[in-house]
Amino acid sequence: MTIRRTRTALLAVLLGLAGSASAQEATLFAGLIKSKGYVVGSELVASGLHRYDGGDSTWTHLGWNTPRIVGITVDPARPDTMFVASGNGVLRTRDGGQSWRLTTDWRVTEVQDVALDPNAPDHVYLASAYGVWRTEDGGASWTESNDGLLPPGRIYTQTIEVDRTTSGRVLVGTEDGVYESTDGARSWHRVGGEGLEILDLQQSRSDPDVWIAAAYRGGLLHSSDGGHTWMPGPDVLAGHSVHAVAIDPADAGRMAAVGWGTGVVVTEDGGRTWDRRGDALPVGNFYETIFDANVPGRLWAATLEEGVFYSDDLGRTWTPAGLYGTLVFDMLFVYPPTTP
Amino acid sequence: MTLDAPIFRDPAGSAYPDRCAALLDYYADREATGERPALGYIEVAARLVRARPLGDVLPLLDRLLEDPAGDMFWMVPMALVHHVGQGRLPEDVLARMREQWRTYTPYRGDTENHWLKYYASLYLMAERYPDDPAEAWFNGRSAQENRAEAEAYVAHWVELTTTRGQGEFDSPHYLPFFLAPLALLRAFAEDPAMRRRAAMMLDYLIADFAVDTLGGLYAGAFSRIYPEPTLERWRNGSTTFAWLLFGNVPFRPDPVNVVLPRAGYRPHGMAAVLALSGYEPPEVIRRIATDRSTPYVHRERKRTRHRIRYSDVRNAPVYKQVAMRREYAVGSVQGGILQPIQQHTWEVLWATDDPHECFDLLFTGRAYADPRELGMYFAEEPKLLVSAVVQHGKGTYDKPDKWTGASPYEQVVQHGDAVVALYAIAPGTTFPHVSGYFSRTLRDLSEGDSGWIVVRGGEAWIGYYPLAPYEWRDEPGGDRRLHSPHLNNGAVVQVAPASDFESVAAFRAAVEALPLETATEPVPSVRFTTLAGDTLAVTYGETPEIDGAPVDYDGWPLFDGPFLHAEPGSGTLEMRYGPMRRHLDFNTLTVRDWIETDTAP
Repeated sequence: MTIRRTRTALLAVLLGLAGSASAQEATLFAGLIKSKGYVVGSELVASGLHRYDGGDSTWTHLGWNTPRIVGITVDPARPDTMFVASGNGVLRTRDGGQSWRLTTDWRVTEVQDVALDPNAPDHVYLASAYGVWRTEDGGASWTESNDGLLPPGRIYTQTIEVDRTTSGRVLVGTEDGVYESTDGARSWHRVGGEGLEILDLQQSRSDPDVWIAAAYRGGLLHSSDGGHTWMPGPDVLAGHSVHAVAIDPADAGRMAAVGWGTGVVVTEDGGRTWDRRGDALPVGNFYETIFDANVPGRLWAATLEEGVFYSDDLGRTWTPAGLYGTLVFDMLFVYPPTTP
Repeated sequence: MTLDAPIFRDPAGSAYPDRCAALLDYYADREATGERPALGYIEVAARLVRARPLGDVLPLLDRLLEDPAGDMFWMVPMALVHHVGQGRLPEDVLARMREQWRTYTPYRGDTENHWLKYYASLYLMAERYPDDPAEAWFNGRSAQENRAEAEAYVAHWVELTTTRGQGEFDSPHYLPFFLAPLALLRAFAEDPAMRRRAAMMLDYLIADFAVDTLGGLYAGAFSRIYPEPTLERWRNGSTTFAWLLFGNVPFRPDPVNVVLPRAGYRPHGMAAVLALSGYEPPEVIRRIATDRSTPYVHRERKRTRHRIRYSDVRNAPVYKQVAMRREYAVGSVQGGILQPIQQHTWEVLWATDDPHECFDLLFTGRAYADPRELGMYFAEEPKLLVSAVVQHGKGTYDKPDKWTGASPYEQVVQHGDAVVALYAIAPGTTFPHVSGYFSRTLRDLSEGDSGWIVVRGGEAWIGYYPLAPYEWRDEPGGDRRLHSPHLNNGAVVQVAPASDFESVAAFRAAVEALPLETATEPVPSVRFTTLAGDTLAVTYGETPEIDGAPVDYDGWPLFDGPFLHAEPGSGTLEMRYGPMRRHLDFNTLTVRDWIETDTAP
């Protein structure tokens, strides 16, 4: 069943949105660790969820000071409700980040990603080192949801996305390809990427049939039929470890990928041709990339501990945007709620 | 009390309560020297329980509270001081400490010792403030929720450990970080069941340590140990626990092996938590730890930590054994990647008069570093893991000459005083060589035409037969490395007490006379008859045979030897020494002690 849900709520202040450039613009969040010099148990420089406040590359730390905020998801109708994937489990705020609750217990750990169903916002899914869990009551309770996935010694899942056009349709990246569930994570079957360890999944905002996936030592996978079938990506990335992929929310033909030693690889023609860019940046290793939700064509890339940069010419030149010494696990633009 | 005091230099005859008091006095009176570690919560707790003036406590505590750090390492000493401070510290100070459990957000970590520290501490704080609502806690969960969750985890960990074995097993460095949170629960839990469970687990882990200790040093194979304390064994925090619990080694907390310069991460200092907990080791454990008059072989089943990728099982079994006698210990696990980064697979460790001066061991290792090994156990992206591990506390991981770590191309078989270690290294893998650590304290080393290297360590004769050509390389401090770059490789090791042979020539003649057939192609294999007359047939990748019978790994016990016995899945442990018996039953949380009247002492 396909449900198209209209976002109705209007919030003047969400997670500090009023403090950013404009309450009418999307706000960029990042989950990160100030990783240089850090060892588990040592003093931790403000890490966790950060909000980009623009201007002189100011980032504001929100919520827990913790080394692993690795995934972020928001209820698009009520953006003051946010779930973040952390090392301790899944944290939830319902008041724009003023207070947080750890919604999971000891059975859930090393959460790698979290995804909220925009058409059923009490339904949230997490991908963890120990597989998938789901909640159908907004995080009040969680249920292990690994039927059809790999056995316990191979249960690792890194990335999870909800098809925003179809409630209950979820895709997850595993050690052995992309798996799909059409029943809200109650059962799973593989739809592509056999033999590939999937590290990131993204669905186009402008064309929901377009999906892209990043693979460890496997380059890219691409789908143009809503993630039902997957095709290998460009030769330029074949065999490379790709950490993150991004699709321009304004143009599904414009995509980017970053990884280990890959630079920033960009296509402007829906994946027919790809160019390696970003070699002018101080390091060739990247962990995250995202297209800007406010500035058309602006591309962000987070390097491995050498800072975050953005480019307004698709990677030919770059502007530093702070966060030197950090490892950015996830970046997310949170849109203001729309009126009917 | 100083290090020169008799109880520290020569603990023999001292009583456990005296050592507890002496240890607490040591930390209570300790002064900052400007070197690591700075004074921390351990000193605060010791000063409180030893009734030092508050003027010596409050300024130090005030400084510590200014900047909470250390995550789960912070939680144990914080909970400790908060509890021993009841009735001793001013209410406003206790309130300030309590407030930090709302404002500071400790990371739970990703290892077994991390979690036990986290949940034991959280349990106690939740129990102390049972009505505090969700908003009073860092994680937004009420005291009731936190207590229930913590109790569930501790019960789960106890059940898993006592039925399938510990995952972060036999770690000379991390043992203190299991004993300290258990000591906290033993001392301060109000729930009698939790208090009893903690006391029983202290017995369990301390007995596990006791049976593998030689002169206060942890001997054998380990899941996790750091490189320097591998060679200089006394530096591990377990040594201070041996002094405290068994009195079988002089006291010397290592100021270097702190790993991280902060208050909470102090493996030696964790002994103070046990010392003030009220726990006293039962006599049967002390005797197991100290009586080496009769040689014995002891076997244990452990498990790997959780595997999340690249494995068909979540926890692979670990088959561990030690052959212990007054002069030396020979210990091993079966090889392969049982723990990432810090595994120590086998060794011979011999006794000496002063363990603080020795590097008294011999072993082989197969350096290996690979993202896939790390990715099997750690949730981070594999490509990042090697550099992350190296940068963040495990600096030798990607070094070809490292002495700790696991290799997928290693198989070890032990039978009593004999070890066969085989290597079939895949072409193209990292660091394609085998290393043998030959300590600076070895003497009378000789190489003969037979291929046997014969050497003496303390009161042990050691015969070492390499399967492939090698060269000697000098190591810092006078140690020597047997370096062999051949992919199919291995060694046969036979150890014997010095008293069994009147000269090096006699021992050499004895080992050279032992039936031995070796091959390196197509895979390494050995057929060897030991000094005890047993024949080991080991072919790499196959189940080994001893006297024609395959080794029964399926039937490997959870604990088995003259001192400890437990069946897998049982949730029990029986300790034996002479007629003394102590039976722990975690299913019923009961302990039974008795004297076996028909057993000879």
